[in-house]
Amino acid sequence: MVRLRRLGSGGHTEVEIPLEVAVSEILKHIMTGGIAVTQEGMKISTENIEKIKDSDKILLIPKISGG
Amino acid sequence: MELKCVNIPGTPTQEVYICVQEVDEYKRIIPLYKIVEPSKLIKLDTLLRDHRIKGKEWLDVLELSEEELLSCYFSTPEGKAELLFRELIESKLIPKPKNGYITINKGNKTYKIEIESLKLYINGEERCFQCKEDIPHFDKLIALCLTILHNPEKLEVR
Repeated sequence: MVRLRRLGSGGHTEVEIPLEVAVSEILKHIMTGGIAVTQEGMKISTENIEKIKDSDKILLIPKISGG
Repeated sequence: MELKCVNIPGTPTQEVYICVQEVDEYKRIIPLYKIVEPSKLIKLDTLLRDHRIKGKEWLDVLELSEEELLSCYFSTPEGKAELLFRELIESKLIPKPKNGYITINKGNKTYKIEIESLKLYINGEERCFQCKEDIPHFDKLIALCLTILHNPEKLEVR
């Protein structure tokens, strides 16, 4: 199971979900401009998403853009 | 821990009570108006205006100890965001604050963020950023720090 912690307007939500569901959620998040980071500080991208393991804790960060 | 009455930015007629605590090189701002019952805040306001409260007696009026107040704060979205911020500093995913700022050197640029105001300076020049989601202060700070560290190109002027 992967632990996903999402920063959001309703406070933090934290869920434990199966690896394949987590991968799909993370992909959705990064495709919409957000950032996903592991607890070790590794940024997840489409190139390294297969490196996510069961038991990983992932932080989903909302999109920030410059003005 | 210091009690303050301030205006909410953008609403000049609305004064609210907050308390400010100096912690680990930044200021923790606890929005009392969000976590204390309105009746207790009205009582506090009356007593303060009549100069009938000294020192830390305001905590007695709120019927809270400092520890209880902190515990209430850390159970709010703002407080939870600050706890995560501290957790990320502890695990070295975000640099430690110094004098109210977080400084990140990335590429040939120096990014400096004023923690209290969330003002961003790139190589000394103030720059804008936006987060479309309305998230707590410290969540925005975490998002900004991690964007600088992992996706700094997103902060380029569009």
